[in-house]
Amino acid sequence: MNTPPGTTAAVPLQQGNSPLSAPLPLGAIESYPLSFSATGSEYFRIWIVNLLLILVTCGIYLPWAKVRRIKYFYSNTRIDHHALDFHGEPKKMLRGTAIVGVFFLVYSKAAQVAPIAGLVALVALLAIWPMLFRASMKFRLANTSWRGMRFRFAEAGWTEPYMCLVPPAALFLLPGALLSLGDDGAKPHNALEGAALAGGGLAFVALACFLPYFFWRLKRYQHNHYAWGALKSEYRSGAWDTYKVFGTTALVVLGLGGLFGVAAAVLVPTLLLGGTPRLGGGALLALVPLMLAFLVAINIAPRAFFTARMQNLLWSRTGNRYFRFKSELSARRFMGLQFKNYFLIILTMGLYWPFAVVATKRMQIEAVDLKARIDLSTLTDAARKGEHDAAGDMAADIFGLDVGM
Amino acid sequence: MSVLPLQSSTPAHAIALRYFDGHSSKAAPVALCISELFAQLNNGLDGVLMQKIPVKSIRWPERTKHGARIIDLPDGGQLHAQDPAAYDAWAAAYLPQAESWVVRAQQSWRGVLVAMAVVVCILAAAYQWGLPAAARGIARWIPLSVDEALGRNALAQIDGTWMQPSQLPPETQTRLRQRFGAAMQAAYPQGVPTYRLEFRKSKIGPNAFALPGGTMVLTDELVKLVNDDEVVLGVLGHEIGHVTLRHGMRQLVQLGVLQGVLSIAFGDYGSLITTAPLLLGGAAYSRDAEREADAHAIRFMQANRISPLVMVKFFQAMRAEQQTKDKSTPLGISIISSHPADEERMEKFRQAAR
Repeated sequence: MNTPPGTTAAVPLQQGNSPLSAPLPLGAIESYPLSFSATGSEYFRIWIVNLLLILVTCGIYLPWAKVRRIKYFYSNTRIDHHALDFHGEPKKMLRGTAIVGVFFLVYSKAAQVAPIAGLVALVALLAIWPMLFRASMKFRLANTSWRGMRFRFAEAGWTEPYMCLVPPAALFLLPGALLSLGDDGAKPHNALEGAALAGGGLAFVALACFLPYFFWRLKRYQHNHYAWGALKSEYRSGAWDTYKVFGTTALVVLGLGGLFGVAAAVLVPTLLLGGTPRLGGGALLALVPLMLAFLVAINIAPRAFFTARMQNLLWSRTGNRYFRFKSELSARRFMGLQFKNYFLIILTMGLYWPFAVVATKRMQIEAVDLKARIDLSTLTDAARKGEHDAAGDMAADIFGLDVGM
Repeated sequence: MSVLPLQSSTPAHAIALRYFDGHSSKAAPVALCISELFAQLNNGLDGVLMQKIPVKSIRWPERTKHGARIIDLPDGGQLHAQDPAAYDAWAAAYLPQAESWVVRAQQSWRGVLVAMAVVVCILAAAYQWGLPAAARGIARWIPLSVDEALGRNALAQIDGTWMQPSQLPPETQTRLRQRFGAAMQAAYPQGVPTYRLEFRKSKIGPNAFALPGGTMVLTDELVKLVNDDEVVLGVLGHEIGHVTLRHGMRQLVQLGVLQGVLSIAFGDYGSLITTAPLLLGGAAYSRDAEREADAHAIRFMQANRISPLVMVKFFQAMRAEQQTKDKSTPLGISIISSHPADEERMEKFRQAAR
């Protein structure tokens, strides 16, 4: 069952408990490639004007800028010649931005004022964040439409986001909070500080071991609940597949480290022995460009590799008996694109950034196909209305979480 | 797809669109036309009037190069245009409201260049004057106890890595403390600010630095190198400048705001992209801080009748020390190397001595 991403037919189409009352008529499998028609130069112009308006309004324009950006990308993303559409209202999103901004400010400053205030803020964050995350998913999906029909985040319960997010967040944030609480500034380390240090270390090790599991659980939570019309997606992949993607990414890191280690081992003796004997200091200085190259590579390659492999796994295993996606993003090409993007962004002092964003999105979107066994123009949606809180949507952006759609 | 044949009952200025009712993925052909402030929707096959909607309650699409034109109706229905160019021509001719200037600016390179010039000016002004002033204002709201906590943490970290207990003779330490205490009385007749002077043996050569909250660290190597109490007092006058001006806290606030602005402009494309400008910006601000602290040192020395020329002596001693060091450990870090404008700084002290 653990077919590597990129190979064929990973999702068995015949099983799964569909929420449909009556099954839809099944036909032959049709393939609909996703297409993306945004251009770097046009996004550059949108970006500059957005930036100006954000600066002039001291940030109040932020949600309007966000809606313009999302609408631009959605209207250029087509499945079967029909584009996506975004319906979020900037005024409502402004309220969300304000709520989350204030909360985030209080959270980041609380720990500086007093350690105990920091701990209280941390607990508050753990209590609110999963709720915001869920609200953000609901908001984003409910405000996205295709073929005139809105998507839904079809999830009813409250416990699942907490189960997904609280354990990793607690493990990630607790060591720091414990340390600041234990540190009384005294020179000799006291018992409380020692215990906090040990607890913090343990939490860190646990986080490292279970990170792929937590990641898988969160992604399963998201991909199990996408719904459109009568169709609801399922995520058909176990945690082991995610562990494999993390593992191969770790191999990329090790490989890069090894490569540069060998290069340094070859370079240093040749410079020390081969060159003029007075070059002792110069030889070490020659290592600086090598170290710089390593720093750049280690920041780009593993991240790009992970993004490509994870996208293939996530979307190729998302579907149900009527439809599924297939993502075949080449990790090698995606890494190459990211190196090119970073190089040009640095060369142009940031002006290439919008072009880089468009090129990245294009490669990611055009690698995906939708495969369906039903006629996509025959679906209906039982009458449903209901808007969700925009606070969640902006929160997801600030906390660095957004739906990778 | 071809344009649908319109019934004779629909007006000539109608456009053929695909209609989705919001509850079904099936499209229906419709004709849309504007009569005064209402949009009129007619069935594209039989011409029967379907809806009459106020133009203002409809969300009209914006002009882009390749993007789809989707009209959002207030009841959740949608109208999709087959041909963006035809829709744009129709909208320009018949829609009562003009296109927003934001869209016009986005679609013209001239508008974008003007916007870019204004953005660059605003950012440059904010960076040069706005942010330092804002940091000073914000720092005033942060209690001093926060600075002290930060300084304590920093000292603990430095002690664990770069520093060892001082090996200076106790009488030297006492003498320097007393002379500095007296100099502080002379420089601050209205009340001496809180400070703590620490001596340390350093693993990174001669150095002196101030931490947030008022702790100043002086290394044994620096005291031995200059071997002149007046030079040490000059250096401490510079460091106490950092303390009284709260450079540490202001630097933190400035970097925080800078990081926020960068993350808004560049999204989360990658930490590498936003780190470089952050480091460069931070370096420029720290050069400004050095200049301010130098000016403070001059006032401090003048209040104590010490010639500012002792600082020139200090810079020269540090440079000589660095050059001898360079032969043995090329990557040795020195306080001097992080201040590239040494010549300019020495010139300021020479001027003050005149």
